[in-house]
Amino acid sequence: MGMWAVLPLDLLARVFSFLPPDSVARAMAACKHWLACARSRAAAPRHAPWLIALPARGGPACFAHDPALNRWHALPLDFLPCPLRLVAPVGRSLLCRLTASSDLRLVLLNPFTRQFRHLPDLATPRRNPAVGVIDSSPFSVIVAGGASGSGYEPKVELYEDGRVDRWESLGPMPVEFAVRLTVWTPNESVHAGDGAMYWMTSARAYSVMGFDLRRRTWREVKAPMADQLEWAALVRRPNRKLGLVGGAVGGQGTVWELTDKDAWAAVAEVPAKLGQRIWGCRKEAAALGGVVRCVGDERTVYLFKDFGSEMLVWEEERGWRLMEGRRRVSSTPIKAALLHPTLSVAEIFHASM
Amino acid sequence: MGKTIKLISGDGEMFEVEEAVAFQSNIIKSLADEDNADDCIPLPRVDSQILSKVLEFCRKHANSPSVHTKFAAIPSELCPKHDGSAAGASSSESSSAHSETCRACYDAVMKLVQWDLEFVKVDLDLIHHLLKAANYLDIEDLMFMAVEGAANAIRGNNPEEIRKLFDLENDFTPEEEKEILKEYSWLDDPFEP
Repeated sequence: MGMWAVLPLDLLARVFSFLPPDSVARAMAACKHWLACARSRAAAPRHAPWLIALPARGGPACFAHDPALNRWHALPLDFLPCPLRLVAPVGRSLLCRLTASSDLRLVLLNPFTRQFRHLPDLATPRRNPAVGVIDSSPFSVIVAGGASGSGYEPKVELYEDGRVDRWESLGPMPVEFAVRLTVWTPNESVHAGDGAMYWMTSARAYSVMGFDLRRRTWREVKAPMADQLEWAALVRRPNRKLGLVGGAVGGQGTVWELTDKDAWAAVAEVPAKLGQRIWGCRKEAAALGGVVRCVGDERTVYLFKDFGSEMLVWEEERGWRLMEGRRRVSSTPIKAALLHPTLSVAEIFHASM
Repeated sequence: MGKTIKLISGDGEMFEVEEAVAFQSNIIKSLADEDNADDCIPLPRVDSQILSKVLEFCRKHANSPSVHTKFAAIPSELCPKHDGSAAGASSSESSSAHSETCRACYDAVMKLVQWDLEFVKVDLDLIHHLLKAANYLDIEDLMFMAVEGAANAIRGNNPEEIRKLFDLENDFTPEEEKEILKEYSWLDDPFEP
């Protein structure tokens, strides 16, 4: 009789961890034991993460790109009571904000398992603050800056999931940082190994700000090629150092890493011919307009122009490669993040208070 | 022949193997480290048929780079080009990384991977026993290969084919099965922006 039908869950989960999501889905439909295993155990991801794109203004679906097959999938968001905007990935889920609320209200979402949960309201309500994620287990979220009816809110607050159901104040912050983080609200945050949360202004001239979580102090780090960078994004590097990917349109693209002395060391250059496929050459760039998008994690960096367009992918061990785009490129503005697809029910949604 | 270890299977058969072969099992290694006058280690949960297969695998993998090792991290004394014998290598060399461009190492690992795949070809019963043995004896490479073997049998097959291969009873109603496949049908539908 079937020994496989009673194989211990841990061993079975390991087998599933070697499979792409569509094979896991079919394995789940084989028998109840296998379904229970795949549903309850998310084994450590072995494949490359997927690129998840949420339309900036919300919508009935979000989109997930499978790098192994270079294929997009539409994931329905019809189970959501209100439209959401992506803020940052956290664990195997996404931190989002309510689109309809001008004050920041955060929601945890997993579009694969169709689960969501509201986070408690901020201690100090504010619009457009910087949001930083500490991706530990359980996770934490930091909010800094933002504006309210009374002006800028130079305050920092912290939410630790599962500990208490409210935000706690981390004290005041220098006003000039609050202003910069509010006016040019960062697109991503990086929690680095030095214990600081880093943000970068969302437009040029790019400025990088670091908040030391232990000492609760702020500092500014000049971006590399600060005056020339026309597109840039922060990424986390494998050694938990802060990384920055950026370039001048029509020029080169570079991956930098922040060293101990607050200096930037170039780690990789985008091969010129490949880069041009994404951002065109100098003459075209001015005509094309638009911005180069960059999304990355410790192992992978994606560069692209629009949703559905050709994408340049960098993996430290494999180098750079181009992923063919779709026939029609969409001009829908999107916000994207890297996420490992989950088919198992995420425990994070059952946090008890 | 180096120092040997005696292993006793669950059904009472005795296997004498070189330490280098047996010590691929972290469990056997730690049991041997304890003072044991007879150097005889009982393995009640593994029967002789499976243990002999496990030892065949370990024999092949002894003194070879692990299939997980990044090529750059292979110590030079394991490189076939450098006359692979671990014994006699100077201690200062043993921890130095080998060139990641060494073709001989790459070929050796690839050959080993091929051998592994042949070792478990098609026989899911064997894979099942090896998976449990690798878990019980804590043998990393064997675990990797058994898991890979099982995953290969699942990959690309539909639920009915999977049930046949793994001898699973379908305890779903047709409606339940349809529901599950429907929940993940988005994986089969590509989307064009």
